[in-house]
Amino acid sequence: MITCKMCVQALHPYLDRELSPDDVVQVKLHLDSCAGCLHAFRFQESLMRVVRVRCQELQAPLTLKERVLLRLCQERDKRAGARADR
Amino acid sequence: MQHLDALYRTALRMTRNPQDAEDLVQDALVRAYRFYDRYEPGTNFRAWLFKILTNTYINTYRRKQVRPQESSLDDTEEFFLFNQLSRQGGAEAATDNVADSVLDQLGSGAIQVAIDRLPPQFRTTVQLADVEGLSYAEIAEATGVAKGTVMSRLFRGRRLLQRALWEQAEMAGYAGGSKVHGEPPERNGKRAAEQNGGGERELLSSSRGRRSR
Repeated sequence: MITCKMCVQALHPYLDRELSPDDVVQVKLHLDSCAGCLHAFRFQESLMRVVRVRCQELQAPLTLKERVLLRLCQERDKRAGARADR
Repeated sequence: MQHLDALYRTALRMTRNPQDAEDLVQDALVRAYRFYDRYEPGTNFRAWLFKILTNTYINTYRRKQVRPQESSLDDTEEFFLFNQLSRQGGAEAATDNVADSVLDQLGSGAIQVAIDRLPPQFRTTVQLADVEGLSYAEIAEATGVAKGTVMSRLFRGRRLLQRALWEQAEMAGYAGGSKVHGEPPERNGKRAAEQNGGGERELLSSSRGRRSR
């Protein structure tokens, strides 16, 4: 079984679902038998969840959406105009 | 337009200024529109958009931006925040109560301030991974670095973020108790790290203790 040190090294890829299936099994086996690592992993997981949920509350201002749409329409018209000139 | 919120959030973390963030998003989307023929169908569109955002930022905004003095954050132990909270109420308390205690009180504003304190390359990587949910490969594409670099930036960025969040919590008075108020945050962090001899070792010793029971 992997050591605590190896388990901690796998912390981020494990939580990011970037670990190979074999390594995931190794980490899970370790966490099943090591309360210290389990608590630390769970903490990191809930911290990341809170960060994501809170930060995703922020949305682009409505004025930006309008601005961007207007600007992209101008680009499209410019392109159509250039094509018509040819 | 479905990526507009994600692009704006990331631009805001890059520029740390709402007006610059709006201009950056608009410029990036105009470039994306102009260079759309260079997008290869079947490849990752989201990563391509973020790559244009990153390049637009580097080419225009970063050059002209007059930076306010950045607060320094030295690299720190793994599980900094977890270790601080464990010290206050035990490992179980850090896990079980974290959502409704320290972090709940911090709120989105404080978390964003903590992310903004990260050095730029860590800040963008943490934002793309932890807020926008991009994979390591997508972030590598978006920021133009190797996947290994993304991983080291992300892991270090997350360690720094735990430290920055702890300092936010201390300043707001949600954590740390009266003994730490009025002291420079850096000093608290360093002192805590010295006392513990590093978070990993603390984690290892505590877990060994538990297992031997």
